[in-house]
Amino acid sequence: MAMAKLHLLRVLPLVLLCSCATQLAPGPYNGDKVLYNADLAITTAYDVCHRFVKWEYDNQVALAQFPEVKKAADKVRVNAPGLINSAISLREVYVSTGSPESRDSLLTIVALLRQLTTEAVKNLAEHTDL
Amino acid sequence: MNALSIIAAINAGLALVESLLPLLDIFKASGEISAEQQQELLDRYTSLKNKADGQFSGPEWQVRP
Repeated sequence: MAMAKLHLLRVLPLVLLCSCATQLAPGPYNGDKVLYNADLAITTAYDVCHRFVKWEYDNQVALAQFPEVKKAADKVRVNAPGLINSAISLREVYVSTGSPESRDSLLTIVALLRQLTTEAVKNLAEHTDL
Repeated sequence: MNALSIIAAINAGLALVESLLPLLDIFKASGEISAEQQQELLDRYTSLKNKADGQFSGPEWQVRP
């Protein structure tokens, strides 16, 4: 378990910084790394945030004496839906227009999503040291 | 609430941390992303998008007083 946590904390900067230096084989994304990275950021942000708030919800009685856990989960509850839904909207605009402006907007929100994901994981990792 | 329930919560958190590792490891992927991997991601995205706001409607998403 401790190794898993160490590994997680090692991965965190990659989540935040990675522009995913990978190549796409011929496939559904047609080599569009911006779109691939956006979908990766959106789905990962949702999965991580959902698991974090569900863990806090499922263990709320035991965690009641650690109010900072609820505070961190509530921050995710308030911010994640708007951010993820906005990212989905901007992603769809990028797909339909392909304009440089829509690409820039998508890249900006993807960076915010990575930040949100990183904070959620960091909070979780910190608070499992209760 | 007792010490056992706190330990259970911590254990659940640690198990959660472990379960997140495969999700985050995908960011470390190097080399070429195959067509199958791309399709899997596209399916995950489409599923999330199609839920509209339903993905945030569970009780775990509600801010409690």
